[in-house]
Amino acid sequence: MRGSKLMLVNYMCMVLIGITLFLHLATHAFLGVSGYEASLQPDAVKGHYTDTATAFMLAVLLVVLAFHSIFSFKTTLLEWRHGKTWTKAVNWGAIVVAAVMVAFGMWTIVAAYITRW
Amino acid sequence: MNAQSPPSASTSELESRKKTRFLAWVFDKPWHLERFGMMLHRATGLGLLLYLIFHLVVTNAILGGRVFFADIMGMLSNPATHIGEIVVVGAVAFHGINGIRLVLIGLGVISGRPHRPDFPYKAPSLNNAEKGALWTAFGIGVVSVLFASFFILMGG
Amino acid sequence: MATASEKEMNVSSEPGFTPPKEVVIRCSRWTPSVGGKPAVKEYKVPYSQGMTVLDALLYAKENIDASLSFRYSCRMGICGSCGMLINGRPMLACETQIKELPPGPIETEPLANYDTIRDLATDFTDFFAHYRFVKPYLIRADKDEQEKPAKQYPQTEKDRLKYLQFSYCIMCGLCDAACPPVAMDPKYLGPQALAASFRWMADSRDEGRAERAETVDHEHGCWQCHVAMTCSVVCPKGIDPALGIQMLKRLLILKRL
Repeated sequence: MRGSKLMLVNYMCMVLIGITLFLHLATHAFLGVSGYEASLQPDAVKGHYTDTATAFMLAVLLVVLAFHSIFSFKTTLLEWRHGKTWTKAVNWGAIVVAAVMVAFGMWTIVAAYITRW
Repeated sequence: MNAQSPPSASTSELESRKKTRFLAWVFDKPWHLERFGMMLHRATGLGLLLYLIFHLVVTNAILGGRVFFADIMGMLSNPATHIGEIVVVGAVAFHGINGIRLVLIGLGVISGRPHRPDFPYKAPSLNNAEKGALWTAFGIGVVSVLFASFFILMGG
Repeated sequence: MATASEKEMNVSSEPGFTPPKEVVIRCSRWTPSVGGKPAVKEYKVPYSQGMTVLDALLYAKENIDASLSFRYSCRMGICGSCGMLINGRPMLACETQIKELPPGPIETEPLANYDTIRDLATDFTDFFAHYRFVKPYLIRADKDEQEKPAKQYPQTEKDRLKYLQFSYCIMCGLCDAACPPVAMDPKYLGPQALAASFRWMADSRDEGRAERAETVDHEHGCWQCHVAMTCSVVCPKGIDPALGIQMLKRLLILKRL
């Protein structure tokens, strides 16, 4: 994929991270909760997953964060070492790690959304 | 005079230099404001990636039930982790605001415009807008640390 | 009291600067092809008013140690030959006045991010290869017309100012020496080549934007720039390579949108 195409996707991810992360931090500070400790209680946390809007927001945050963080980390790794084998390993490894992160996080979100205590 | 045919568009022919220095982004001089910004942006990015992985694992504990999650949260509720959380909030704030600055610079919004360079030279890209944005990122990072300290350590 | 313009030009008419009788210049000495490790040799050079680091090196070479190797040519900051690390910072030796440096020994080393040929002279092979890679020449859609232009290509002053500063590059290599991604990634094109690429992309007479975009729109091209801006801090001619790279990114992103 051309560099500018990837960077455009990265820029869009950054914008989405800005919005969703702000909302995510707000839900732990003042949005719907009365304080940080209260927001970490099991029922409060479960509430974030069972509420469709916040669950969707968390899912979006997960995907865009996974892309942005792994894409950026991949760049750092490719600056650390060089060579065809390393480059191939890092490129494929980045896709795998991002996929695992998204899959693991989605499992948490979906399972918490559909199960009831 | 005929133009010489240029090298092919592949980048695989472009390196012959033997030595690379990975920690150049930390140690090379000159040090200046934007350089510190880049160093901090990279350090916070790496730190936040580690935190993200940790956070995904910890939040998965919600699937273990009310008691299990409460136990995990109890284990993580100590001054050291609270301070870690405050640092994370500061890192997120700086990394985010500086990231916006980098996007604005990359899109040419606050990067200045080409001009005729007259001595003494002043680079348009090293302008007050981007320096101001960087100081804003530092400032918001500090403020968010104070804000987070209030919420996390004092109970909000 | 120094006037504002004197302060800007680093000319001191104030009392307070006491010219030393001599300066100590410490030079990195190493010939990789022979082997061994870099060593530092000190030369004591008598100071004179207006002496530059290049003057001190030339004195050392002519009067103390003829084997000291470094590049120089014009002695007036236009050829770009005498780039080296002076007290750890990439600078042109001919433009660095000794009285502007902090008191104490002056450390000179070969430019960072380049292989050393000998002592203070470095290998610019990759630098020039990166420059040639970005096609630094006018490209016209009609290739016959490109080789045998039949008319003028008119250009307004406004059009010229869009790329003028980047055309003043003397290819001294200080920007590449200061750039962190260049240090880490040998395939990275570097600030000089990328600024040169923008110089041609921004030229209204050029019709090769798509062709040029291919040479810079990749992970070793402009997207490897992490906006440290050290290239613009060290550039001795006010080229501002960082601006060229950001303008390049802007062009490529806007093309996508």
